[in-house]
Amino acid sequence: MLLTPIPSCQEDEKAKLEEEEELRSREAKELEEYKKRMSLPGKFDYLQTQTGTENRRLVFATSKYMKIII
Amino acid sequence: MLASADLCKGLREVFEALLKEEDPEILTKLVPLLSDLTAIFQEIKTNESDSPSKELKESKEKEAKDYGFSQASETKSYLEDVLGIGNALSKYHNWRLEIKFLEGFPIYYEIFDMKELNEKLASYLINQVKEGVNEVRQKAIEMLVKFMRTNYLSLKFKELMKVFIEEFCNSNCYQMRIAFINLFLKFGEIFSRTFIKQNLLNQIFLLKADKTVQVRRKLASHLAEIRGVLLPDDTENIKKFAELVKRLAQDLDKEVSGVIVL
Repeated sequence: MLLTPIPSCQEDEKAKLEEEEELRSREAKELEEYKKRMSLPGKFDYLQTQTGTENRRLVFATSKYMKIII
Repeated sequence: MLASADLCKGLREVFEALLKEEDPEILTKLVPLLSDLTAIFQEIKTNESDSPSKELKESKEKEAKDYGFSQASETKSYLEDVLGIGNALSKYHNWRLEIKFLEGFPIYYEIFDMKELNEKLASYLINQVKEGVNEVRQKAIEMLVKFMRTNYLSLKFKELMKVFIEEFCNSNCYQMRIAFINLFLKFGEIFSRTFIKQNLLNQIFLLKADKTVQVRRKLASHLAEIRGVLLPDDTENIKKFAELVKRLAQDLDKEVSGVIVL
């Protein structure tokens, strides 16, 4: 068992890695879409920095709260 | 038009009543169709909740967009009711039907909100791995790995990987450690070797010194598959694998050492 070479997997590996990469980028794409929906440019990034969280829901909840207090 | 809307509503009400059923005879007939029916009625439900009035719909959409909540999460989904059917099946110890039930899961990965799936469905499957009979456990592992292949929420994905290691690989129960080997093998079938190397390989190597002979036997019987997920140029892990094989070849249990062909 130890002497036989490990089967090559280049094509299969490449396809799987691409699929995994696409899966990982899906969340980032969704986040980009949410950002676009925000009315003021840079508002999301600002809130994200201010709240110190990457939790999208918390950031949006904060934006809702800010609309009330501002 | 009105008649078809009424019919639709009527059918949806019947379906919702069926989701509350616990009668074994009804469940036997319902389960093989459940995932398809759920997909149909979830779509109807989502459309209905969108349609009350144009103004209301637009205001709801605006609100959802403003605060980042998807429409899917605004409408209560059928996922919880569907999982309730799974719990009813476990109560009747009907593992064959439970397997049929689990086989329908990939459809749910497409129709329900990913956050809800992470919160409810993943924990249901983990519970089935822990408490289900062996056949159900195997199927739950398969569905869990398939779910991970569609799970694009990075934070939740990482949390689940941590749960697998803590609650299966590091479990005091030897059956959970065997479940971890099965989970590893399923990951190996559909994930890249790079992913396996980064997330699971070290844990599987640690099991060579497991105190329970059944775990070592399981490991020894799947050496070819474990070797098959190594990257050909990953000398470090190829070396670790050789150490694993040598260690198992010297195992005092004949069923462990007997299956090793160096």
